[in-house]
Amino acid sequence: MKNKTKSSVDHQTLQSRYNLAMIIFTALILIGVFLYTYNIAQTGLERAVEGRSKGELRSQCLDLENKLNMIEALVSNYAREVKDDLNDPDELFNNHKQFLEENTDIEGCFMAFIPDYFPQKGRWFECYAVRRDGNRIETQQMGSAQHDYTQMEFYTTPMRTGKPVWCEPYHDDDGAHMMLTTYSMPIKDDSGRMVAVLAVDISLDWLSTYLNSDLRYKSSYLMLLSREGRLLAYPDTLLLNDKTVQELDNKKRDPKVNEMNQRMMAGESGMVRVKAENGEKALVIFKPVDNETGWSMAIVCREKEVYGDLYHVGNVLIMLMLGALAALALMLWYATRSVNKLEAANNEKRRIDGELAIAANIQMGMLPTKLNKTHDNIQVHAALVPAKEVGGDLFDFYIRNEKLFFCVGDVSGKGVPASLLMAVTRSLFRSLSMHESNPTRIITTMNQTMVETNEANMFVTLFAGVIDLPTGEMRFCNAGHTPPVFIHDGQASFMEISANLPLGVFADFTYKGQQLTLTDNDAIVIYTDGVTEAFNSLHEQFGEQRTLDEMQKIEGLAPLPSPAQQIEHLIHEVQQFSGDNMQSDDISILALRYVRPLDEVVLQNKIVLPADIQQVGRLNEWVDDVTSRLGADEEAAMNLRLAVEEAVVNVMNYAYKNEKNSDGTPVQGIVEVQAIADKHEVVFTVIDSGSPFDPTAIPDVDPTLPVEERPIGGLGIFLMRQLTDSINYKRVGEQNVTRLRKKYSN
Amino acid sequence: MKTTIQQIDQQLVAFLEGELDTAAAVEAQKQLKPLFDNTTLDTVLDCTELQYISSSGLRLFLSILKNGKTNGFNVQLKGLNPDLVKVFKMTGFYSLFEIL
Repeated sequence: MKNKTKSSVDHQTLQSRYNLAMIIFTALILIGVFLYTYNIAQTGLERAVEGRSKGELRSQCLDLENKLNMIEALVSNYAREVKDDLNDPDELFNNHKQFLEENTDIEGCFMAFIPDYFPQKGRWFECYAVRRDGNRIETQQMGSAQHDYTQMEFYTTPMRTGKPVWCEPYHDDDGAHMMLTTYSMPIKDDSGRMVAVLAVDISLDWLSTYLNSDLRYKSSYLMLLSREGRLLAYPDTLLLNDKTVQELDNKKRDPKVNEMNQRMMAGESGMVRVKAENGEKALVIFKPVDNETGWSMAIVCREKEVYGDLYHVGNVLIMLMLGALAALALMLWYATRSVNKLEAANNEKRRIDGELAIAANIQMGMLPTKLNKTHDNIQVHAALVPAKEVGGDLFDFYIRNEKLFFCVGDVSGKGVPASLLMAVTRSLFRSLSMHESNPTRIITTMNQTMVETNEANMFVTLFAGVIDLPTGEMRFCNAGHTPPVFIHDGQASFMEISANLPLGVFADFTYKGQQLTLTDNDAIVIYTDGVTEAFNSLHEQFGEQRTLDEMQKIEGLAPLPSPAQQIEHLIHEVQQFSGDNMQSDDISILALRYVRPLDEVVLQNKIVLPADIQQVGRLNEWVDDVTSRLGADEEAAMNLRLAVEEAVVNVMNYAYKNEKNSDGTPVQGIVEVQAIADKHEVVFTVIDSGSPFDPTAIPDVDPTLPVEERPIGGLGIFLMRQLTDSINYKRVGEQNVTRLRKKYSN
Repeated sequence: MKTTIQQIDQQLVAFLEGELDTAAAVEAQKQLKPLFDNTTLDTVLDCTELQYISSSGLRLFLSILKNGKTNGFNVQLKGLNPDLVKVFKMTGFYSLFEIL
């Protein structure tokens, strides 16, 4: 038991490890599939995002270039206009005002002259117009010692190069009070001398709004960087200032951002993935603006938004995966539990099978093997050949008060329930028949009891009978059982059976009993359907006709078969018939043969003779004396004399043949012959103490053979059979007892 | 049981009287030795005075008949009483012998 528990624990541990390995393995596969799928989706999405972002960047770049070109063209045209007013500085204010009114995209406009160009205006003259609070336009002269424009980029660069320039963004503290970029170009007088620069201010707010106003994808935005690394446009305009990106650098920034800025300032194109300070990742694609500005434009795609759907799908996939793993774990747990249960059930079944085998033995032990007491008037034998599975066949027989009680039954179904009910049925029969001699009442009571307790809806077919042994009166009741074979006068037939229900069906069913009177040597063979429903390999049933034929066949053989021989023969035939087919049902057979006793004895006599054939004369005289005293007719008297002589001569010739005294001389045996008779029949009983010798076992001669083939012996037993009504032999203790019975008168 | 054998014409006639039971059959076998020695003459078993016969007697008759068949002469039965006829018929002997 200890070992068993241990091995069971080992087994469970093994099972748990297996389950864990299974879950881990599945998890790895799922993770692999997830990563692969996710990667493919991400790559695909990346390509799509890259493609469309590049397109976006190109088109926005183009758009910006057009816009800048347009502004440059405006300024260029305006430059031609203002040349006419180079001598009228005050008129320039009006021109500027009008210019701003016509071009709403432009924040401010101014013209700065070389120092002392208008002596009446002082050293510095810068006529300036600017938008205020929407569309109101202010003009003023800006040049002064504090605002020395000759030191400013918009003035110095065109003056130096003679070409227009887009300036670095800056915060205009004096004029517009906002972040601006300025486009300025040199103005020459008629002699070709550079006398002034004409400039327009573009608001970075406006530029940022303009660039980001019609982006197709909300997840991305545009930014614009100047030559020196200042932000020109950015969605969050509060971030715009006149510091370069290098100046704004801090330690936290992703080094890639710096690298990217450098590349942008160098006029390169490219694409990088960067991490913002808030941890957000972004894809940035940049290219230079294709004009004189030296600006670089970048489109920034925030991954969180670009990959939002992908992250969502990923999360769903992870949830599904976890769900699947949980389901798998649950299934494994359940399967393990089931397997354990199944195994427990199997162990239980083995244990039950073992116990059932014991139970089957106990049950077989409950079935009687021989009569509880011998009785001259009856021979009974019964046998059960169990099928592989426990069945529900039963039989019983015993003698009480000169009555033979017997039954044969078959419980519906097989297995444990059938065998339990079989035990119950047999016990009921035994206990009820102890106090009741009427088989119909026994069966009726059995039925009521069984219906009351029959929760499994099983039923039992049962043939029950009671034979009054002195008279041969047999009462019987057949509860749905197969009709038994009845052998009377050497003829086998099926008993006429009243139709009754099996036991256990209806409590108030009225069972009909039957009766008949057995005469000498009548035999009854009761069997279960294991006999008739035995199958051969051709799926044919042994059937009732074969059963009847076989019983007839063995009845015809001499000597008259004993119940044991009848049963042996029938089982043998059934097994021959079935061949290798497995026996599917129990085979039970009960056979009985009735030997009718004499009525009132009118004569009783005996003679004891030495076993010597010279004594035959004395024997015959004694037999003649008996028959004459009985008043037997001449023919019966001679027949009896001949039969008894043959029986006794057999004993004299054979019984003591091999018996020797201690000195080697033959034993002088004794033969006793008893005669007992009623008014109609006489029984001669031949008794000797020789070696076992059954005269009925000697084969008959064939009286039809021609003389050449006739054997010399075998006539004696033939005559005995022919001349009497019945012969029985039995070995009783150390004696052979042969009974010859014959009717001598009517 | 008394047995007498006479040669009448070209026949051996055995007169059997009384009861041929088993004990008598042993004795009769000795007395009927001439019938077994005979190899030429037809034989008649006269049972007119025979009252009873057991299987030993029947075997004796059968032996005589077999001797006749072997040597090619007839064995005939004569004067069986009705009881004996029944026994002879019962055992099939009635058809084996020629009955006079």
